[in-house]
Amino acid sequence: MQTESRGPEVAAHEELLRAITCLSWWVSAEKRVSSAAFTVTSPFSVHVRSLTTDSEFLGKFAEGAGAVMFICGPARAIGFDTRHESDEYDPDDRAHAHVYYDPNQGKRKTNAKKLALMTIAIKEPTAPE
Amino acid sequence: MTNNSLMNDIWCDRTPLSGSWTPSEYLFDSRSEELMTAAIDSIAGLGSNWDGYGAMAFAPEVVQAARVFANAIAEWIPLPAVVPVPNGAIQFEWKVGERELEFELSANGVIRYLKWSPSEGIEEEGEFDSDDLVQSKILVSWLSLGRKKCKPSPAAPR
Repeated sequence: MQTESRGPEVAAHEELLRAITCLSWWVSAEKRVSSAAFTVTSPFSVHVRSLTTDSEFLGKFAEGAGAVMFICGPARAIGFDTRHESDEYDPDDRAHAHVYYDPNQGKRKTNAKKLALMTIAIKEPTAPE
Repeated sequence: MTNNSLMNDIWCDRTPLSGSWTPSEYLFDSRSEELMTAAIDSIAGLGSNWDGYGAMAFAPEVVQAARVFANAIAEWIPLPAVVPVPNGAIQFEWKVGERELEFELSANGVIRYLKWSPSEGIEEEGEFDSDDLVQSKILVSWLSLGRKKCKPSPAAPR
């Protein structure tokens, strides 16, 4: 997979936000997210937490959406490479980044599971009223 | 990418009909097929951008494949969580003791599975055709043995 054309690497210490927009992704008994939330087509979008606020981030999604956070460096160590790149639908959103995963490295489901287990809940999703 | 217009119709609960999904239990439910079908119907009704990140609506082929698979396994498999996957697949998830099993069913009729039990050093993934019920049974048999690996309650002192 070509990496030269990607944006700059996001620093390893950065916290990355991903919205949880489906209640069935949330395993409430264990307060964790399903790997399904990270079984996505590469690249997928995240937001750099230091460049936004949790409320601003959550305001982009439907009422009741939750959010989880993972650290850039450990995710990169299992193949999820985060690059600071704009969102083509919201180019002014400077916190936006893309996470790339090379499908040729295999173990797609294993690493989606590991990434899901790396996450920390920022806000649990709730059903809309 | 994101869309504020997404509202209630994106929500598909892990428990479409009743009760809370208890991943540590091994549940056989006489209404397994009904529950799985309801979850699949809920997923089928999701429109494009259902995840707020631009995911496509689910292809009729994957929905039909999931219905056929659910019908085939309902009588002998514990009740799974049935969840939508942003890549267009539908995933069946189980957890028994410390063992977890995922079946990710794609539109091409292939199931990609994940066997997961870190305490036993098991991280295995592979794939098989969704009509290969023997393979499904082998994997579910592995899962069901997770019950025996659960720690028993400490015996009362004599």
